[in-house]
Amino acid sequence: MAQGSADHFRIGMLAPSGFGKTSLVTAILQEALFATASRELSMRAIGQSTQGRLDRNRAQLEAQLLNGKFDARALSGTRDAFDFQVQIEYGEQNVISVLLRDFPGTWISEQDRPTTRPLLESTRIFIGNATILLVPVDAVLVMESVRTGRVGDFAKLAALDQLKKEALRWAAGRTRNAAEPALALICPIKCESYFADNGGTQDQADALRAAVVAFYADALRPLLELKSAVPSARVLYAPVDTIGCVELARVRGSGQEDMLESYVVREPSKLSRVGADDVMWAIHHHLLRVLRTSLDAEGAPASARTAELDQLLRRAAPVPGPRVREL
Amino acid sequence: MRIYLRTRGRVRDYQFVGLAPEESWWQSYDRVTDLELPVVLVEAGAGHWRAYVSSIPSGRQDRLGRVIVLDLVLVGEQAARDDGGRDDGDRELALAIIAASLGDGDGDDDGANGASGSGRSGRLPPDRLDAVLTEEVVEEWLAEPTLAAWQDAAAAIRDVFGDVPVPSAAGSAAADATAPAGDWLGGLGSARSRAAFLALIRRLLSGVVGRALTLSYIADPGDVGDLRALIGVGKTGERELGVLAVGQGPLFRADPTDLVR
Repeated sequence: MAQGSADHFRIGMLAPSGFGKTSLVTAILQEALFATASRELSMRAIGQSTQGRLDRNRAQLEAQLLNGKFDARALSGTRDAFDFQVQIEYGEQNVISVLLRDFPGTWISEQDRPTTRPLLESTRIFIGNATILLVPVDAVLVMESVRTGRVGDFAKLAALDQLKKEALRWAAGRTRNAAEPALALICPIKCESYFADNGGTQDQADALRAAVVAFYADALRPLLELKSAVPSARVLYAPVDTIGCVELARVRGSGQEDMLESYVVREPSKLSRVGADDVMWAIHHHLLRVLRTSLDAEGAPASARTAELDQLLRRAAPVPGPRVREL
Repeated sequence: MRIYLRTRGRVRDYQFVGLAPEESWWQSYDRVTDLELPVVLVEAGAGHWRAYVSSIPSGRQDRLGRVIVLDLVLVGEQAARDDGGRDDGDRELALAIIAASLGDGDGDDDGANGASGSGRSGRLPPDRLDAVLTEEVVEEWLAEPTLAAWQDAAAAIRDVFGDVPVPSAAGSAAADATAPAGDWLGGLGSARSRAAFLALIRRLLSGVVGRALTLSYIADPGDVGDLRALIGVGKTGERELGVLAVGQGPLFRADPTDLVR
């Protein structure tokens, strides 16, 4: 396995500040860790720090929802890099640990500054060794940019030029390691108001996807082109309702730098995320593929371990849910 | 004393103003405390000390309306017998900042209150802070990472905290008499523990080798064994370790208790 260490698989993220890296990672890990373990799959946080962060984030969200409101202002920004650590058991034979790095988005958007360059460097190494790349996208910002025609502002705020540079680096790393499958997940977050499958009243799913694909076409080209060098590479579009029970009520501000969203809470006021499990299942499917590929590369003979992986792979749907699209 | 200020603007994300510390040493504690919550970490040895004081709330908000906080990294020289008290003022300033940051321990330190959020009840002077570190000033500093911006930010912090008093408990005879020697564990909600913590920090700034840490993932004394392994306590000739448990666990109101190495 060429994931950079014999012990850990790495999952990298790419997005500037305020685009939902922390929201995405906490949503997918909380849902996965809350799910009941089965004989075939179980996950647990390693150490108190990962569980502590997830618990704090969930407590913040639930406290707000109990009060009947959701206010993004109550969520704090990320100031230091942090590796979420989980252990995943696939059956009895395949136990792996996964590191998922969250970091301040300014390291991407202002990567040439002397105060951020050294900090980004270690995260670049981490992302370069990541077998999976997550790209969170602020769905509200995308749709508001469409509505107001401020596409240029979006490109700046989304740091699309810098994003492309980092996507190129990741793709280059995957190309050097072409025997291993690669997975990139483009994940719009805060999608509650654009889907009708989770209590929402509008279905703008196609419009959202079209806008994301159009806005990110150039920045994410290195990921799409990766498939020609790494045939087993996949790029999935997987939108996520990071809260679920909220509806965008109002957007204030004349420009995106001043944009302030307000939400109303749908009854019952409980987290009801949709799409987070799609992301997690895509991750599981990919990790199983990597494990299987590595055994093939090692020339491992058929064993209980290979049989278990084959069985799990047969059962795991490669495209996990109706919202997910292969790009 | 060198002062490094980390904060953000409306759009521009968190970063150090002007210059950044040579290493992000506080990150080595991210397995034992939640660095997104208010934290005080002080390390001292080899004639130097350094402190990380985080999540000081400002009155500014980012583009999403989130409360913007300040993190401070302070780096200084331990008191030497022959320095004639040259850096005493800096050490008092560092103690004042740390003491103000700890507050009176009645804050909601589990962070569930989100960005309102420092989790401290606070002697911090946010009004004065915002009068000096205005949105306009901070945006200007963040626009260009220059030596001048770093110096201006340090001067502003000195200005804001310069007349904040150091609590008498820090280094008082009463605190010294009740503080355990060596390694100890207490809770932020205990006045005795806070006094012992500040007294320890005064000693660290004055030449003692050791650490003073507020930690959020210490639920009971049994966790300290893991803590030592995680942060390498005892490997560097440290003489003293003081830990204040924060959060809503059972240790929050605990008086200082000796820990056996």
